[in-house]
Amino acid sequence: MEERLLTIKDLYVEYITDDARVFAVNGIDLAINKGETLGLVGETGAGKTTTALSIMRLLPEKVGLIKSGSIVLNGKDVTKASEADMRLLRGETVSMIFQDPMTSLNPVLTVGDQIAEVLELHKRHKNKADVEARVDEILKMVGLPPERKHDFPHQFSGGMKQRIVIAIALACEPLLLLADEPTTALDVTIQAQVLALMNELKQNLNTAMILITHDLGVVAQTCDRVAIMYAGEVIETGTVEQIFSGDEHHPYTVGLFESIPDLKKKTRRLHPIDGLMPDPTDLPTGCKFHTRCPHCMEICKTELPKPIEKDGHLIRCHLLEGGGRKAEGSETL
Amino acid sequence: MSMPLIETRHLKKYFDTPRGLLHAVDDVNLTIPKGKTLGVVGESGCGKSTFGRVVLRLLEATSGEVLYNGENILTYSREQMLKMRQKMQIIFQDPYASLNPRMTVSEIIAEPIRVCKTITGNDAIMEKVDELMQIVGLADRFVNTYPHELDGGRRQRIGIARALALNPEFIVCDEPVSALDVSIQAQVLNLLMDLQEERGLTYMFVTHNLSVVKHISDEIAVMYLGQCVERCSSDELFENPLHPYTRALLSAIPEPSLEARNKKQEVIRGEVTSPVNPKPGCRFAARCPYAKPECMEKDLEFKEVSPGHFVACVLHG
Repeated sequence: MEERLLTIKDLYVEYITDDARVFAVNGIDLAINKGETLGLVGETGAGKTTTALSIMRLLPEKVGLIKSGSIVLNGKDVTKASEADMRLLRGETVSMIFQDPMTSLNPVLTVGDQIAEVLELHKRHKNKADVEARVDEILKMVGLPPERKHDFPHQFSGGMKQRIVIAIALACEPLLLLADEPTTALDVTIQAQVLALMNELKQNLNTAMILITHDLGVVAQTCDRVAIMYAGEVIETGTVEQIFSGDEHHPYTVGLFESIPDLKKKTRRLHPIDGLMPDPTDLPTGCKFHTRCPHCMEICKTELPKPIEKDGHLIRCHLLEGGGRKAEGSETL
Repeated sequence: MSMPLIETRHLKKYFDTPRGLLHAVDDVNLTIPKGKTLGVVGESGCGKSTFGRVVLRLLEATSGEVLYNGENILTYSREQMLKMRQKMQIIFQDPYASLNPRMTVSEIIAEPIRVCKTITGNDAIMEKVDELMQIVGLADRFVNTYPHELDGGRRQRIGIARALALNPEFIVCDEPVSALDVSIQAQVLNLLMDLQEERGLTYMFVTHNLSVVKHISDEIAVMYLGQCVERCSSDELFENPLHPYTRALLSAIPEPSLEARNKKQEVIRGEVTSPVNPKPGCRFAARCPYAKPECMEKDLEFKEVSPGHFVACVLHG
């Protein structure tokens, strides 16, 4: 049995603003083993980033609240940890890469100083020379010449900045890396370079990773397991093989796949999901997807479906209830 | 062959920067037949958006010609251009930035009509606005809302309705779906294709997303640092890409399937070089795995290597 690194149980997160309560994450369960890559897929507003911020405990103060549930990271429940403990945990056990490399670096510090900052905070090295040597090593690791550590962020291109952000995140060799759309802001050829780099580093350092993305292509190439989120819930999880080839899926997953133009097939029309994501301040009852679902039944409108499992492939849909796991859902695939 | 609706001849656009001349569009020759879609792809900074704007004369070209139905519109006067603008419109990339936040949806859609005075009388204009909103799939109840109240997909529909307001023949779509989520992206793409079928529109579709471009285009032009490096039909480009840059671009797209998972990728090294004062020769040579000395010597010719397939590379032709 592989070693469990992170277990999220029944997590609820809300944002409380002056005019509304936003139900961002509504009871998700996730687990990730050491060295594994989990793809967290969903559209804008599905709660992917909120989940990652909860693990880091970086939700905006007073506004974002973990309502209930637990997040056990390497044996420690981060929802109950003190701020001082969290500061030690961040960077050393878990670190995060943000979507936009342009805004996640400090423009008035050289990149070398920014990498050194992490090492100094976590007191990994005794003296300045050791820190400097490690900075050089890390820069080389992400494919940048160490001489450039005296440069400022604006002197680098977008792809290089993202490499620096990765360097900072991996400086203390964390057990878990949260990558929030790390390549969305980059061009395809640069995206390919950054993904290749992340894959290589992950293998060398045996880091587990949660890759947040809406690009199913990126998921197919980098992830071991996939969790698909919709309106703050995980509606389907499984291995990449189960998600990309299995014959039973949540109707939302089917819709997602049919929305992307296929490079191989020639179709004149796409089959997108009708309608829009529900408003997170006013979520529908029952299955959150029922308002857009082509197979909506009466029960979907009132009752939240329970996750149904087969060989670790979990789907939350009423279509699959009863009749073992063979249901009407398969006709549409 | 019938006359193309749009043709550019040796079109150039240079920007004067403190560091020298930035060659944003450098000698681009393209044609778009009536009722067809030309996809223009390339990475950020390759000049694809500038090209779209120069064709519409939203930016003045440095030299070259843009022929619309055989007439060079770059020599048109202001009054003539105002007339021309009714035939050519643009849909912008960012539906958050391209709509005036202080105008309601109906005011935004009616603005081009009021400016060009194609319809007069408030009632007639409102009737047209209602019709346009119906065409793009915006519900009546949004008539008096402001853009900030709507989501990205609906805002992009406003942008499309505005572009259609003057019954144009030609629309430049500048990354119209890249700010949208996949499910919404598919809805907007379907809408654009329906409109093309119904009204015989001609599109120039500027994007960096190759799977979108393949889906919507008849012909594709690949741009690199201001130059067009390859042009052919959409199917041909994906089946038989010739230019090393096109190949690298195609192999860099992550495919949403398992078969591609273990495929060795051809990752090209390096990054786009500066378009300021470029050296002669092939601009891709610095990153090209097949570069030879002769690539750097002189500018390459854009040659037709097989019927309808043009490429600028020493390896071919």
